[in-house]
Amino acid sequence: MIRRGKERRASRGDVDWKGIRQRLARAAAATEGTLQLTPEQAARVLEERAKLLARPTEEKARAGEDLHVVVMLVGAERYAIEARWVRHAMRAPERTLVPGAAPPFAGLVSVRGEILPVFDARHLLGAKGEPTEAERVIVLGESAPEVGLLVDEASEVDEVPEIAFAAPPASLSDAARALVRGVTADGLVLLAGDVLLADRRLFVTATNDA
Amino acid sequence: MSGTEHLPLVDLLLFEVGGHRYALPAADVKEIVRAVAIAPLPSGPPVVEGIIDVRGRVVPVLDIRRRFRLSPKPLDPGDHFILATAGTKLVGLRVDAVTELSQARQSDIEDARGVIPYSEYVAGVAKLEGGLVLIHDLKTFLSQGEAAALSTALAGAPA
Repeated sequence: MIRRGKERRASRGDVDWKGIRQRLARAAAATEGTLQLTPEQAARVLEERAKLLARPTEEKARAGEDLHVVVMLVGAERYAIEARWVRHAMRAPERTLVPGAAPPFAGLVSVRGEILPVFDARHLLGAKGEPTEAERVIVLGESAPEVGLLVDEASEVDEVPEIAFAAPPASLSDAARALVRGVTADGLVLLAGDVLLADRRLFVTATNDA
Repeated sequence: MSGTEHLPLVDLLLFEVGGHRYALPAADVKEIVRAVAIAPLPSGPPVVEGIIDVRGRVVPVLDIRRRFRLSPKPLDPGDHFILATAGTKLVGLRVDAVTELSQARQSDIEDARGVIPYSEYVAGVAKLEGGLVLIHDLKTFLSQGEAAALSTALAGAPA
C-alpha cells in the first residue's frame, strides 16, 4: 500500500492548495533525480517529509478510532483494557491478604478510604504462573473504583487503533475468551471492561455493601 | 510442468539496494513511504540507522547495507522506506528503490540456508524472470542481542 501523505492532507477542508502543489512539484523533482539538490536542500526535503509522516492520519483524527488502553501482563499474555475503565493503579504489596480466601479473590485494597476486593487476573483469565515482583493492582470501575485486578505487570498507557483488533483466536481458554473483545496482530488482547466488571465471579465476595 | 499449476503463489515486493535486487514477502509489508529525515538513536545497536515518527508511532530504521556488507550511502531524498513487520515489531528498511510487486510460485523459491553467506537473514531465493532474487527474513534481521539493545534504546527515546 503506497500512501501519499501530501495528497491525503490536501483532502482536508481549508488547505493551502498552492503551497501543497509547489511542495509536491518540488518533492517530485527531487525524487526523479533530474534536479541536483544541495545537501542543505536535501536535508530540508527530508525534514519536511518527516514532519508530514509524523502527522496522525486524517481518518484516525476524524473517526477517533484510537483506543486509549492500559497494557498489562497476565501470565505470558499481554492484555489491554480501555483506560476509561481504569480508575487507579497501585503496587501489589499494598493489598491486604485475607486468610483462607478462595481464588480468584486475592485480598483487599483501600482506595481513598474505600475498601475494595481484589481479584487475581491470572485465575480469571486461565493463565498459569507464579506471582511476580512487578505485580500491580489495577483498580477498575465505570465511574468510581469498584474492584481491583491483580496483574503481573501494568506497563504503559498506549493508543491502539480500534480496527487493529481482530476476533479472539480459538487458542484462548474459554474463561479468557468470554472477556476478550479482540486481539491485535502482535498479540495484544483487548479485554471487554464492561463484561469484566459484570463478571459474576467478581460479585461472589463483593457483597460487603449489599 | 504438470503438477505445478496448483502450487500456491507468493506475493513479493521487489526492491533495490546498492544495485542488488531483493524481495520481501508482500504480506510483511505495511506501507512504502519516501525517505524522511532519520533521528539518530545513539544508544541503539549499529544496525539501526535511527528512528522515524510514523503518525505518532516510533519506528526504527534498519540499515540493510550494513547487514549485507554493502558500502554505506548517505540518506538521499530519492530513497524509500519500506515499513514492514519484523516478528511483532514494525520496522523501516531504507532502500534505493521499490521496483515492483511480483509473484513467485512456491516451487520457484529455494531455501537459502547453507547456500548463501549471511543466509540467516535470507528466507529464500526466488527464481524470477529477471534473475535470482534474495527474499529477506525480517524475523531474523536483528539478532537477539540487537533486538534487546533496540528495545532498551527505544524505551529511553523521546516519544
